[in-house]
Amino acid sequence: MSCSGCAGRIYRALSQYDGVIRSSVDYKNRNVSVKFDEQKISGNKIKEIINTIGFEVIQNVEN
Amino acid sequence: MVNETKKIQLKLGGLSCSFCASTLEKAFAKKEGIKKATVSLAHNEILVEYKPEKLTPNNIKDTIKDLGYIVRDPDKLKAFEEEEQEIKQKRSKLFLSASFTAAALLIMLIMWSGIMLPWFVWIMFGLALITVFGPGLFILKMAFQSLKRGILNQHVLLEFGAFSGLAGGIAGFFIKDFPGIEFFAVSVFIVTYHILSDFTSLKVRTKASQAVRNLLKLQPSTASVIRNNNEEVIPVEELNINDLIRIRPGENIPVDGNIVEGSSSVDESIVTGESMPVEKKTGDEVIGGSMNKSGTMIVKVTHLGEDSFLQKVAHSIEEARALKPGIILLVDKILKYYVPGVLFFSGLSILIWTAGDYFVTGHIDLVRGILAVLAVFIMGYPCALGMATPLAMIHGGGKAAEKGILVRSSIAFQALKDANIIVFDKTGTITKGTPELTDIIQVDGKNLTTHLVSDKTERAGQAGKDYIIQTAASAEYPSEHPLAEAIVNYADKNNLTLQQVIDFESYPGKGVKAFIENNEILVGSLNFLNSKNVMMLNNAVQISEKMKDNSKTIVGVSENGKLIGMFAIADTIKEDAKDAIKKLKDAGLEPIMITGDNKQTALSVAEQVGIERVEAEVLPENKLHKIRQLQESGNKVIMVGDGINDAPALMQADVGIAIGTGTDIAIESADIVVMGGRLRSIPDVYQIGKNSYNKTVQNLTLAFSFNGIGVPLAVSGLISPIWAMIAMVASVSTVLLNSFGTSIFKSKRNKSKTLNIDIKNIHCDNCIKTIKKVLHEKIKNVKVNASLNNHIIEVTYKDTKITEEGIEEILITNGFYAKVIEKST
Repeated sequence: MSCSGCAGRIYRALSQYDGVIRSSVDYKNRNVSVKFDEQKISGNKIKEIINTIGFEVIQNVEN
Repeated sequence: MVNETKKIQLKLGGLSCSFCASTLEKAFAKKEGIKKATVSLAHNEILVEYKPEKLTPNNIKDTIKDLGYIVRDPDKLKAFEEEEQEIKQKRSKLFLSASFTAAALLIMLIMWSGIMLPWFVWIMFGLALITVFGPGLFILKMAFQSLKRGILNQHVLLEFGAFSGLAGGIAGFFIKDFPGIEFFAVSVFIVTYHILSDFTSLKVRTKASQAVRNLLKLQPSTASVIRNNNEEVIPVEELNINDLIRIRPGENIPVDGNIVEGSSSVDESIVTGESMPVEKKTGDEVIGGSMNKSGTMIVKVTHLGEDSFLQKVAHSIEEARALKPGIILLVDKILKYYVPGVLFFSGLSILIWTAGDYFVTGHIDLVRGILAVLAVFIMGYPCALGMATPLAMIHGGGKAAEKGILVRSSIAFQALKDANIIVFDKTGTITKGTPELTDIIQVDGKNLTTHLVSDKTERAGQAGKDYIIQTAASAEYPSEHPLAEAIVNYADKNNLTLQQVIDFESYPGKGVKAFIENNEILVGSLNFLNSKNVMMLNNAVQISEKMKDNSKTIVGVSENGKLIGMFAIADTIKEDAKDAIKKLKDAGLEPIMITGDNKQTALSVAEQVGIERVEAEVLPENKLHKIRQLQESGNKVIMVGDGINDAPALMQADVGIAIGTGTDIAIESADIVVMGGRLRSIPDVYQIGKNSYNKTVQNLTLAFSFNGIGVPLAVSGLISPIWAMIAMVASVSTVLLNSFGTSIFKSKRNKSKTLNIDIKNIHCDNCIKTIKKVLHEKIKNVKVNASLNNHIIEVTYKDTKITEEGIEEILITNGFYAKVIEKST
C-alpha cells in the first residue's frame, strides 16, 4: 500500500463484513492483521476482499 | 384442566386475498375445540389457539388443507423449495390451459373464415370440459369451499362464468341458432385468464417475500458451552440452566445469564435501546440478544426458553400479530357490492325475459332469457380485477426496489396511504447507533475552549486539534472498546496518521495508558485521569457537566501528566434525519419518538430532528402497548425501527418498517424493509405507497367500467359471448397500459445523470485508480472525474438500473467514505 490512508480503507472495508471481528492496520510497517470468525468468513474471502479494494496480499500469517 | 389451551403458529401458502383470510377464520370459528384463529395475510401465517384434548395439530393442518390452502414446512429453506414447486405447478397448469385456449381460438378462426364442420362443436365441448376440470380444478375446489361458507369471492365468480359457458354450450345442442360454440370458447378463455392472474399474483407475492427472506441471516443459534473441561459448540436449544458458556468478542450473547469470569463492554441497544455500550463485569447480568463488543466472558445461563428475554419478545410478537388491525383490501371491499350486483342483474334478466316479456308482449322468450343470464355471468367475471393488485405491486414494488426498499406485500401500500402517525425508534433508527466523536476541546493556556468538530471554519486552526486526536487515537488503537473506536475512526476519516505505541495497558471501564516515544499518554474518563494525578484545568469539570447534559460522554487526554484536551463522544443523529422528518410532516404525518433510552438523550435528539412527541425510557414490551394505545384511539400507525426491542411494535403497527441492517427478528416482523439505514427512504416509500394505491384505484375503475357497462347490456340478451371476450381483452389491456404505459415511454429517453460525490479519504493515486476501477466495473457507460486535488468526484452515467444510493454503496464497500452531495441533470 502506498499510504497510511489506504491502510485505513482496508480496515474500513473489512469491518463491513459479518465475521470480521477486528482488523488492525500497522501504518508504518504496512501490515494488516485481521481477526475473524472462521465459521462466518474464510481467510480466502478476506484476501479476495482486499484484492477487490485494490491491494495485493503479499504474505499471510495465520493463527 | 378444561380451560387449558395451546397455541400453534403455521406458515401458509395459497392466500391471495382478504377473502381467503376470512374464509379460514370463519371456518375455524365454527370448528369445535378452537378458541381463536387469526390469519395474517401479509405474513402468510395463521395463529390458532385450541383445546388440546379436542384437537391435534394435525387436525388443524387437515382443516386448512381441505379448504384448499397449503401448510408450509417450518424450515425456511424447505419452504422456499415448496414455493418454487408451487410456482412450477401453476405454470404448467397455465401452459396447459393456454394451449387449450389456442386450440379453441384456432377453431373459432376457421369457423369465421367460413368453414364449419359438425364435429367442431364437440371439440369445443371437450376443450371446455377439460379446461374447467383439468387445470382449472383447483379453482373449482376453492370456489366450492368458499361458497359453502357463504363467501363470494372472485373464484366463485369465475366458476359462475365458466359454468355459464358450459351451460350455454350445452344449450346450443338443443336450441337452434344458439351460439353454443362461442359459449364453450368463453369457458376455456376465462378459466385460462383466471389461472394467469392467479399465477401472476403468486409470482409477485413469492418474489417479494423471498426478497425479504434473503435479508435474514438464517444461521441457527449456537453457543460455546463448557462441559467437563471441554468446550463444544451446541445449538442454543440444548443449553441447560447453570451451563457455562464462553462468549468471545464480536459474538452475540445467545441467552440470559450471569458473568462468572471476565468482563466486557456490551451493546444492548437492540435489546433495550440504550445507545452507549454498557460495561459488564463479573457478577453482572447479560441479556440474550445483545452484542458482546470487546472482552471475553464466561457466563452462567440463568434463563432459558419461556423465561428468557428473547422468548418474551417472541410472545409479544405473536400477541401483536394476532391483534394487528386487519385490512380489507380495496379490491375485496368492492367485491362485496359487486357480486350481489351481478346476481341481481342475472335475476333481473330472467325476470325481464319471462315475466316482463309476458307482461309486455304476451309471451316468454326463454331463449333470450337464458342467453341474457349466461351473458350476465360471463360479463360479470371481473377479469382485470385479479390483475389489479399484482400490477400495483409490480409497479410500486419495482420503484421501491430501485431505492433499496423491499415491500413484503401490497397490503403495505394501502395501509401506508391511510396512516396518520409515524413512530420512530431512536437508537439505530434516527441515530447511527454507534458512538461518534462530536466535539474536540483544546487547551488554551490554563483553560479549555470548545470546538465543534463539525464547524467548517476550523480548517485553519487544525494543528493543535490534530495532535490531540493523533495522540489519543494512537493510544486507544489497541483497545477494542467502542469509545476507543470512535476516536480511532475519527482520526481515520481525517487522514491522520497514528503512531506506534508501546506498553499499552487497559483499565476496563476507565481508560488506557500507553507510551509514545517515552511520553506517557493517558486517555480516559476525567475520574480516571484524576486518579492518575493528571493536572486538571479550571473549567474542565464545568465543560464536562455541560456536555453530559447533552448526553455526551467525556474523554480526556493527557501527556506526561498534563491534560492536553478532551473529547465528547455521543451517538450521533443520521444526517438525513432532519430532512426526512420534515418531508414526512409536510406529507401530513405526525412523527412520534418512542425509545428505551433515557429522557435527556431522547428529548435532545427529538428536538434536533423536529419531533415534538417523545416517550422515553419505554421498556421493550411497552413499545407494543404504546402503538396499540394509539391505534385504539383511532390512529393508523407506521412504525420505524431496527432492533429486537422494536419487533413486537413493528408487527403491531399498521405498517412496520425495518431499517438498516436490522436484526432478523425485526426484519421478519416488518412489512417493509429499508436497506442501508437511510432515513431519507422513508418519505420515498410513503409516496410510493400513496402512488401505488392511486394507481390501483385507477386500474380498478377502468376494469370495472367495462363490467359496469357490459353487465347491464347483457341483460338485453343481445350480447354474444364473443363480445364478452373482446370486452375482457380490452379491459385487461387498458389496465396494463395504465400501469406500465409511462414506464415504456420513459425508458426511450436515455437521460444521463451527473452526480457529485464527496469522498473524504482520497489520499493517493491508488485510491483514484480503485475508485475508477470499481465504478467502471459495476456501472455501464460511466465517466468518472477524480483527482487528488479535490475530494469531490464527478460521476456521469446513463444506466437506469443503478441509483445514487447504489453508487454510494459501491464506494463504501470498498472502504471509501462516500456521500452524494448534489446532482445535476
